[in-house]
This record gives sequence, structure tokens and C-alpha cells, in this order.
Amino acid sequence: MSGSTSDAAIAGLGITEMGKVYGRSTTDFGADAIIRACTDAGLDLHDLDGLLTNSGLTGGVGLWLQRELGLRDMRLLSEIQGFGSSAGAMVAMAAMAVASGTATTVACVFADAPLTADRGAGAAYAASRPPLPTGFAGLPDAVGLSGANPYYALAARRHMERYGTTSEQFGHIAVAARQWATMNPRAQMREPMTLADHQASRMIADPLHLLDCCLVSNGAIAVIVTSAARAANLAQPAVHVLGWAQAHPGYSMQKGSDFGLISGAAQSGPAALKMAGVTVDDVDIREIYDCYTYTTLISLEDYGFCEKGEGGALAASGALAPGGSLPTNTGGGELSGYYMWGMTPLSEAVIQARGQGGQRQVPHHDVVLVSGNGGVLDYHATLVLSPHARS
Amino acid sequence: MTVGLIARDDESSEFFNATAQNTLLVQRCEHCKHLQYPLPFAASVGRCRNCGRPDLSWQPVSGFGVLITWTHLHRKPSKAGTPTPVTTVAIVELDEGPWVHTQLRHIPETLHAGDRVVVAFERTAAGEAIPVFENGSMIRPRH
Repeated sequence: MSGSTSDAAIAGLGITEMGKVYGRSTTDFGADAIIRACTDAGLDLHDLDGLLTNSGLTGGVGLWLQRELGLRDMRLLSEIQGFGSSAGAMVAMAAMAVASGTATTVACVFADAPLTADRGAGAAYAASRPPLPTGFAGLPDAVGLSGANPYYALAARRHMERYGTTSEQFGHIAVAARQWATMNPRAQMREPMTLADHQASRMIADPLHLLDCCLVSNGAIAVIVTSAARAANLAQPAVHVLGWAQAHPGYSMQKGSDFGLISGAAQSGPAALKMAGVTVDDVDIREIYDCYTYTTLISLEDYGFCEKGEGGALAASGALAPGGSLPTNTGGGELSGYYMWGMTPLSEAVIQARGQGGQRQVPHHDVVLVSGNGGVLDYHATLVLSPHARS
Repeated sequence: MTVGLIARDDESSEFFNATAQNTLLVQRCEHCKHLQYPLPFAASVGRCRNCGRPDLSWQPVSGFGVLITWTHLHRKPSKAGTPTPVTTVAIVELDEGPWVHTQLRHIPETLHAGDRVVVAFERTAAGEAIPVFENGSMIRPRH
């Protein structure tokens, strides 16, 4: 398994302190994550010749990170924005840059710090409102559609109406994520949680309870992408980037629209797996963007881990939880772990592919699927990672 | 049932002139005849979402449609423990095809995808009349 000389691998992972960490700027988190990722890889900061940044809500990382860190002679430098699909897009772009010789060593970083000591997570992610909403742009707010919760609730309800999916089935996804999180020292929510706890949690946007919704976190995560050949000689086990794809459905939002029923994973999943030369049955671990329990469910269906409409039954079967047949979101995901957009599933995928998951390590970790989802199911990216080079 | 204030601008003035007269308008593409509800983004300049061309005119619709999906929005409970109002927002598919993100009022206890709904207009003291939808199963479309 020598692999192609042009194949890329993730050689470094940097995760800052995470969660309710106040008093640090987004730039500071981002710079910290890049330095940690370089240290993790056994690289010097000045080995970097590529930098891709993805800013969360607070807009605090961008091209200026180059100057902040004193990085000279960069061959690749760009700000990437695809919301929850950004992490997958950054790694894919970095892999293509490495393959083409555009750059040799590319840092990809996400940072955000929406939480402040004086307001809650909900307020942090509520859309900022203009003083007097004007014209058509004011219509969503005027009818009560503000922030992501109601839109995802609309999507989830449509799935329930079409396929008979239930709130309890969503609850099983939250419980499984929490079971994994209890074994992840980095997870923000590590107290055990039951299905009854899920059902009793406050209703946010029916059918979504509080425990159907992700966390909000301050922090940053970076990965370093370089050639597979070089990664093999660095400090950490190389995590090979075998496949990638994006899919952005552009829902028509008119008669016949698939909104709420089919996500971009239905397109990006098969494409990324094909590039990797594996099938869905070869996937050992699933790291799925879980801004809501519903997002995990529809993504699993669209990747083909069950038939369309059977995601609820799959969740209720216990397959996703520790000890189950389809280990999913093994660090607790965004629901119970930490919310770093697409870096949440990507970071846990790197940890698992390396075999560094400690108590929560999944024994078989040859093929790890990473799923990113942004907007309201609008933007999708998939990565296929492996500790083994392309065969 | 609460709707917020909206101030009209040049692009929306004809639409809100119509809502004031209890009429719902959609955009019609002069080029490909596609019908659509206006895109609620500040950056939108009003192009056809089927062919990309800017030649849109306004066309009245029947106001009838079916419920695609909905959500009951619960506010954070007050510290005093008094019940807080629940708002129901929904996606309605107009009989003419476009989807409308809207609010529901005067609805039955239980809702189902496919329920017939009809437009109504909710007025605020200082803002424009806003299209909302209510139970339409008892009302026949006018022809």
C-alpha cells in the first residue's frame, strides 16, 4: 500500500480549549489552533506554505492570520466560506493543492467565539435584527422565522410527516451522542442522559426539544494537510485523505422540492466513496455534522447506511451508540461534544483514524466518513479518511 | 399569533399595496413564465429562480394552498412561570406552485401535511399587512 505520490494526508491536529471560554478573541483562538496543529505534526510553524481560514459567526479569522503568525512566502492563502461544509471544502482544496504542487503544507483553521459571559447560547446564534425590517428581507422575522431552529424544525417535521419519524427516534440520536461524549474528555456535556431526559427537555421549535439542538462553543480547530509521503515521516500517524465531494442541492422551494427529505449527502456521499475506492459497507466510523439530531438522521439515510425513511428505526436500534454496529459521532458530536462547525466531525475522525480515541476508540477504524452540512441543508461536503494509503 | 413590523421599500411596494387590499401577489417571469414568491434576502435583486433573468412582473394568486410543514415555536418560559405564547410558522405550497414561508393562525389542534389552507392578512398598527394562512378546508376557491 504505497499510495500515489500525489495523495494527501492530514499530519497535524490542533484543538484549543473549548466551550465557555471567555476573554479570548477569535484570532487568538485561530492562531493558537494552528500552532498546536504544527506542534502535533512535528512541524515548525514556518514549514507552512498554505493557509485556508474559515470564520464562524464572529468573523475573527481571515487572511490577516498570515501576518499575525509571521508566515512568509505562502503559496496558498484564502478565506473559505461554506458554513458547515467549510471544513470538508478546506481539506479538499488543501489536498488538491498538495497533489498539484501548488503548496506542500497547508493549515486549515476554523475559529469562532460567539459566546460571551453575559448572554446564553441561544442569543449568540440568533440572527442579528435590523432596527426596522425593510421589504422582503423582513418577512422571515415578521412571521417568526429567526435563527436556524425554526428552519430545521420545518425540515424535521416534513421528514416525520412523510416517513413517520418520531421525536423519540430523534431522542435516540441525542442519547447515543451523549453516551459517546461521556468518554471524551474534551466534550462539553458529559453527564449521562436518558431518552426521558430528552423528551422532558424544553420544547424549542416543535418537534425539536432543547436536547435535539447542538451546543455553541468558543474555540478553534486546525488541521495540517501535506503529502502522504511526507506525513509518513512526521510525528503522528498519517490520516490519508482518500476521497472528497461537495453537493449543494439548491432546493427549488416550490412544488416538488425535496427540502427536508433529501440532503446533499445523497450526492456527495457516493461521489466521495467512489473517489476513495470504497463502498458504504466499508465505512467503519461515521462522523456526521449534527447541528440537530434530525441532521444526523437524514444524513445517515442519504449516505445509504439505511433505506430512505428508515433513519428513525436505525437510531432506535442502538446501532449508532457505543457497542453498536454503526458507530457514529464517537466524540459526542456537536450535540454533546463541541460545536466547531465541520471541524467537530473532522477532528474526531482524525483522532479515531489515528487510533487515539482512548476509552471511546472504535476497534475497526480503517475507513472514516466525515460529513459536513451548512445552511439549512443547503451546503454539503464529504471526506473519506483512512490510516491507510490508497491501495 | 403575532407578526412583526415591516417597512416597505421600492421593490416591495406593489406587493404590500396588494396585501393591503387582501390580495397575494407572486412574481412571474416574463421570459419563462415561472412563478415564485419573493426571496427574503436583503441582497436579492429579484431575478427569476428558473432562468435567471430579471424580467419579473407581479401576478395575483388564488391564496389557496396546502400545508407542507410547520413548527410551533416556544419562547423561553418566563421566570414567573406564566405560559408564553406559541407561534406556529409553516411552509405553504400555493396551488400555483410556489412555497411561502409564513405563519398560521386559527388552526385546528392537529395539523397534517396536505391540509388545505387559505391566505389571510395580518395587520399591525404601524407596518404593512403580512400574508399568513389559516384553515382553508371549509372555503372553496372563487373562480
